[in-house]
Amino acid sequence: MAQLHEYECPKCGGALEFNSAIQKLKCPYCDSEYEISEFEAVDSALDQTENEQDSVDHADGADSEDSASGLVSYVCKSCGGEIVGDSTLASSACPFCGNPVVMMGQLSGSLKPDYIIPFKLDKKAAKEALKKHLEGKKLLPKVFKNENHIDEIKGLYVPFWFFDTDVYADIVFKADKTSLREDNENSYRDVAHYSLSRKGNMSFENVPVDASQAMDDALMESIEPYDFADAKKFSTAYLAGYAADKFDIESSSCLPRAKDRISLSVAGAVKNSITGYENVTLENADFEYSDTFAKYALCPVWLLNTSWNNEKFTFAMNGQTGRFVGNLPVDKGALKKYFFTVAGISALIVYLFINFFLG
Amino acid sequence: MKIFTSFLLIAALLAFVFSFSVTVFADYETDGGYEEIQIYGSESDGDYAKNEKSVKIFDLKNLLISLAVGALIGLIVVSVMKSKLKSVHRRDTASNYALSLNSVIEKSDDTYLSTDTYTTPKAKPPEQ
Repeated sequence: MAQLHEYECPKCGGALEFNSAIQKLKCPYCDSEYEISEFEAVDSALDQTENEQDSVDHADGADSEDSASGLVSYVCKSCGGEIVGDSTLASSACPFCGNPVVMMGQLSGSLKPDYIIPFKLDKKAAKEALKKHLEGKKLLPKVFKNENHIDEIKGLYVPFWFFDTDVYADIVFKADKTSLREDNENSYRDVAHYSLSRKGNMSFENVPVDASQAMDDALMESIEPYDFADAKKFSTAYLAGYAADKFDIESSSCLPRAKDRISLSVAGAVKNSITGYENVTLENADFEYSDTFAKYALCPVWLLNTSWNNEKFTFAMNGQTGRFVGNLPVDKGALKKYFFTVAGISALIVYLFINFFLG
Repeated sequence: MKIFTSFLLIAALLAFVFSFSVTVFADYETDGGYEEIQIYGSESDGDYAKNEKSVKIFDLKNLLISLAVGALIGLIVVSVMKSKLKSVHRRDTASNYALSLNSVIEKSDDTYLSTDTYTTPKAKPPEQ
């Protein structure tokens, strides 16, 4: 099995790329369009066992792995150039000829994703989203906004585990009920204390957890949610023209993160269902998980990197929904200016109010 | 926080200086349709002052309260502006992925534990 695969146009031999607008493979040279299903045969080799995959890992197009640095090098079939990537790289482009290549060995056997959520938004949309993201931020340094040059825009399929699970929750809350009464001499406030026990089931579907160590977890959680209804059965054809990583965190290691989020959601939902009481506080909670199932899927992310004042800023856009996030630098001069202006004006108004209306 | 502290320090210093340096007494007795305003030092004659309504322009206590409130408002406003620059956060919950949110509870059991009573004496009407 060839380690590297390039999707070539059957008509002109050009390198095909997945076009997010038409959801098909398109040749940038002759504009021919192809359905993903037309390339299903390419993926049939991916279903072989992991052992078989290991045996061909460094055969044919793949070439060497430096175990000390964790880098793997491949030889581009089109130009013979060397493509170097880390051990999780599953799809990339040749740095010499620019042709998209898929590292088939990274996606075969147990490493084959179950699903892929294809890109719906292109690079232009990511640039527009960044422009919009920078608008209306008064404390953003003007230089950063006006002279912002993106160092890199990369369309990347990030590996995720999606968890389905049922949760049986047994939660105890403490709560109060207050009543008022009075006689001729006194007023009384009676605060009755209760222990509220609630038991019930909740089901969760497609709770995502980022399965790549290289990706910032907070960044990936910030661009959620993904609409799993658009997920397709995995095909390497979707990767053409985009970078992709294989997972390097096992589902068992990601599950606790999903459970943390799920348990907070359940406790919140149960607490919200309690009515007629005051001061409801959680006392004890037990959660039992059943029918837990993990799906391995690749999700589309546009990553934009820029640097300013020797600091690196990374922005991410959900390639399906367009949700855009990224922390921005603060203009300390503007911060001081706004603080003193607002504080000064407020102090003056408050002083006048106190002296002339309350004094 | 540095800005907040420096603002309060500057403000307190200004308040301290001004509150002791200027005191204005205004004469509200009108004569011929105009108000006469006279400024006296702190050793003003006690008898004369009886007929005046004194207005202390720089009241230290009020000034400090105003500056503290102003600084607090300023801090809140810039904090809100600063928070708009931060959009990367970890998610606490998974509510987006919950099914059957409305039929969560299968069994409820509310147990009464105890009651605390707080007594407030009523104000007695004045005796006639």
